[in-house]
Amino acid sequence: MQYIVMPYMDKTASQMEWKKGSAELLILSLVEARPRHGYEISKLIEQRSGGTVRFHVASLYPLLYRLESRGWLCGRWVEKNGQRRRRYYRLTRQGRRVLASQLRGWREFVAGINRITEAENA
Amino acid sequence: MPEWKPEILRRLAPLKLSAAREGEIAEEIAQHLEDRYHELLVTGQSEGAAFRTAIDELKGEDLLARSLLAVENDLYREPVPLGKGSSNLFAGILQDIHYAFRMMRKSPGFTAVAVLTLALGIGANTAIFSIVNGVLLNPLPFPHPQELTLLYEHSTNFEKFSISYPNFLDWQRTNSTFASMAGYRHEDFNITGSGEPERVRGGMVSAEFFPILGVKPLLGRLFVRDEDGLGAAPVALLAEGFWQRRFGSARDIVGKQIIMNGDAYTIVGVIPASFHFRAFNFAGIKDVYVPVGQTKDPFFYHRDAHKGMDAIGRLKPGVSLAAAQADMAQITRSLAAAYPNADKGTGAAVMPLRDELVHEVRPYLWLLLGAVGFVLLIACVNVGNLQLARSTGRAHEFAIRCALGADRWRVVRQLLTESVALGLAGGAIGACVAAWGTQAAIRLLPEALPRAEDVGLDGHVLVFTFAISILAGVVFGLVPALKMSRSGLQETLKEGGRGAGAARQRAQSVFVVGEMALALVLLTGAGLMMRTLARLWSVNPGFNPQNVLVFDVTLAPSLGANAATTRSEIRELSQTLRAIPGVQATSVIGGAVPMSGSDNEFPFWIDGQTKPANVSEMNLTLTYFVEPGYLKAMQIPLLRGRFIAATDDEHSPQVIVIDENFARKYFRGQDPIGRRIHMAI
Repeated sequence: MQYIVMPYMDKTASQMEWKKGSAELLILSLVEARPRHGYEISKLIEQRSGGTVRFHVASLYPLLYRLESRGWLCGRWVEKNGQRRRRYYRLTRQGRRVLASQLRGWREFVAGINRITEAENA
Repeated sequence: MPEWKPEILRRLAPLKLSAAREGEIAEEIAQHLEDRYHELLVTGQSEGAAFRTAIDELKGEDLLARSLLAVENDLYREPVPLGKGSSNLFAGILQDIHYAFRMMRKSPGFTAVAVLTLALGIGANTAIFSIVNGVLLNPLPFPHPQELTLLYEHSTNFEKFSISYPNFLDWQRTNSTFASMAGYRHEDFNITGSGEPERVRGGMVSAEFFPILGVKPLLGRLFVRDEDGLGAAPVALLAEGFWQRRFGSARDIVGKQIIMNGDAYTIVGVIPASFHFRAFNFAGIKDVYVPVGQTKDPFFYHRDAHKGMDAIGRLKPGVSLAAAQADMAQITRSLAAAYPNADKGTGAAVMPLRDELVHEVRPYLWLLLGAVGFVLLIACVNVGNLQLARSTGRAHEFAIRCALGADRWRVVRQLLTESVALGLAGGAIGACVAAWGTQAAIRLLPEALPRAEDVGLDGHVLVFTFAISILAGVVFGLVPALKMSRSGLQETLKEGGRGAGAARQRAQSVFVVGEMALALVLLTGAGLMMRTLARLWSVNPGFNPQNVLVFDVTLAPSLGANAATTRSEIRELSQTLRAIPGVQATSVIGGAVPMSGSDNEFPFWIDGQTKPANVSEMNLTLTYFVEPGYLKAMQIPLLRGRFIAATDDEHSPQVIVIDENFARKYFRGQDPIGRRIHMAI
């Protein structure tokens, strides 16, 4: 995966790019602890980002299916008492390795950005 | 409650996904929108506003499709646009096949079990059919095989027996319905001269024998008519296998001589190994061929002697079997009138060659084919049951297909395509198993099966395998397909994919009952057959074959045909054999190996009764020529009187021992000991 930093873009555009680059990481992180369905994933992203990051349906589900086709996630219809059946996504072993790698890369990236911005503002 | 699915499906339509996949995506996204809608209502939005906000998540008309395009491009494409039938049938079937193979890959466990089960059933059927095809169905490997017939003599006592040579020559000369007729008989020869002495299997045949069967020599020429008679220069034809083995395929073999039974025969040609002719009294691969008219035994030329010669005839084009039989009946009546002592009551049996070759095995082969048909049926029921159980998980998929416009036939076709694909996969493996199994079985039993050399996987067998593979697919796929297509759409969708449980269970019950019934029939048949075999094994044949060795002996031709010398040689041989340590009893015999087919039957009449006017009116009896040790060697009990003793020789009165059946039949309760029988030997 490549991350492209564009420092002179306006706020909305840069947020979009960051979201694009980090979307896979966010989803993989959210299903690491336990399987979740699509709506739950989208709500958690929205809540935990304080409304900064939101995925609409037309991009969330294609992304889930892509991660599934890569073998990082495994989707399964689950029926619970009194509820309609829902499709739950769990992290696969391969997905777990990818998540660990992406987290490492992301932390290094953020640390690098922080070092640059802190030095400039010091 | 807002309807989300139509909005979603409209956006997914350009992707042309399979109905199942499309339904799955639509269901998942519809739930998301539904959740979002309820959440918005809770926050106080009106229904209309909540609907618009939720539907806005889809972001325009084409974003969802564009985003999904890359992911779904190669997955879950619909075999045929739902609800559309015949307009693109061919493309639809291709897509059905593609989808069917994908479904097989998705369930490797089920696929493996189903394919192996079917491979077993189809393989068994292919193996047996390849034998049926080679032995019963394929034409004989001779030109115009329908014109070929076998000829025997028959009488009121015997359905068929070998032909007397003088009679055969008259048949050959006077018939009007045969284009050609040839005699043949089996004769073993001792090869001496250069190389190791060897006993070889020989065929004594008329000059017309090979031309009738359309055989061309590999080297040299065939026999000519002038060579087929006493006094002609001795000539021989070699079989290709013997020529390779004994003479290293020497090309200059023609014109060379070979010593057989002490006489020098000039080799005139080599018969190709592809030639196979097996008939009653002429079984087994031959090494050499000699003209039958050169038979040295003077008895062979007696009109009342039947020395193991049968005949083959080729009908003239257009002549029916009935016409030939009528022609031969006329000829044999004339011969009976001319030679009543030898031929009275004797006729000619004319039978189609193919029927004669295979009539003994025909019922058994059809029976076997029926039995393996049952095995395949059981395999089909088994796989059908598995298919039915598996269909539970797919009920929802097909309900959605129907909801989106697929008709019932379309669903049935998809399921049948999957079943037939499984059947064909099973058939492919089954054909490989059959190819190996059939050849292995034939190698083990080469002599037991007529036309074994014609058995193999030819075009007919492959078409048969292909057909039964498809048929098996249809048989085991049809019931699950029909059950699935009949499942109530609403009920299935409501049940969330559990399918029409009660109907499926009924069908499974029927399958299990059917399977048990078929298995029971097969097991009963197999059990009865085993019991029959066990009883056959336990039948007491009246002698004990355990540890009894039988071998042929030929006296050296140099001894000549002197009776005294022959007796002396045989007695010396007996003494030598008796002296071998561990040998309990020995007997030089003539035709005394029971059930070996080498029996001799001789005419007789009982002393005191009127002598029949001619030989053909006399009763015949199986006659064994034996020495005193025979009874002990064969462990046959002596019921009354005494057995042949060493003192019964050429100088003593002639004696005979009869069996229990003979005594019961011809002496009817009287004491046979001391009675006299006249044998017309």
